[in-house]
Amino acid sequence: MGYPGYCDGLACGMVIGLPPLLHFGKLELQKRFVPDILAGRKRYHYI
Amino acid sequence: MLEKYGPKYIIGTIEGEKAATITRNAGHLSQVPYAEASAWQPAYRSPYYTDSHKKFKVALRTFFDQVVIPEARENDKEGDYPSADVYQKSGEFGLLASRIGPGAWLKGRNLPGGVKAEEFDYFHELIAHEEMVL
Repeated sequence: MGYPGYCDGLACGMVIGLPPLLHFGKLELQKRFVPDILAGRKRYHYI
Repeated sequence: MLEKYGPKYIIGTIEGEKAATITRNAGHLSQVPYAEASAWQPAYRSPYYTDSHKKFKVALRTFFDQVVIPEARENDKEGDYPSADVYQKSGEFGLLASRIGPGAWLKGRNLPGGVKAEEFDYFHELIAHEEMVL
């Protein structure tokens, strides 16, 4: 799409920040956060 | 442009005329040579992409054309965040999950184009990123 700012806002923060949690995080942390984040209920912002 | 203003301004067509422009429907993969990667043209075959990849790509493209782009046009002028509605829809559709990549966290999620979690590939993830940006 020709809208880079919008595309970055649509989940780029999650794409950068979630894989460390998935590969190296503790299981309880993963169970707490990952289902909601991947379903779109919680949003993972980066600053 | 034609989709947005067409119904208001087009009052008629010439009889027997065939449209010279190609209308871009939702889910349209361009047939112009070299406009997109040649793997998606019907005459070519790529060793990396299977039918499941093509269904995935078409499903993602219809989703973007119908849901995301109308809102992106408005929001880009103001610089707003994507609304929670679009974000949630993309989560249910499986777009967010497919951008992370294959792994154990995909089990039981519904993914676009009817792709199953076991056959999810790095190429599917590549297509998801590609559709997002291009």
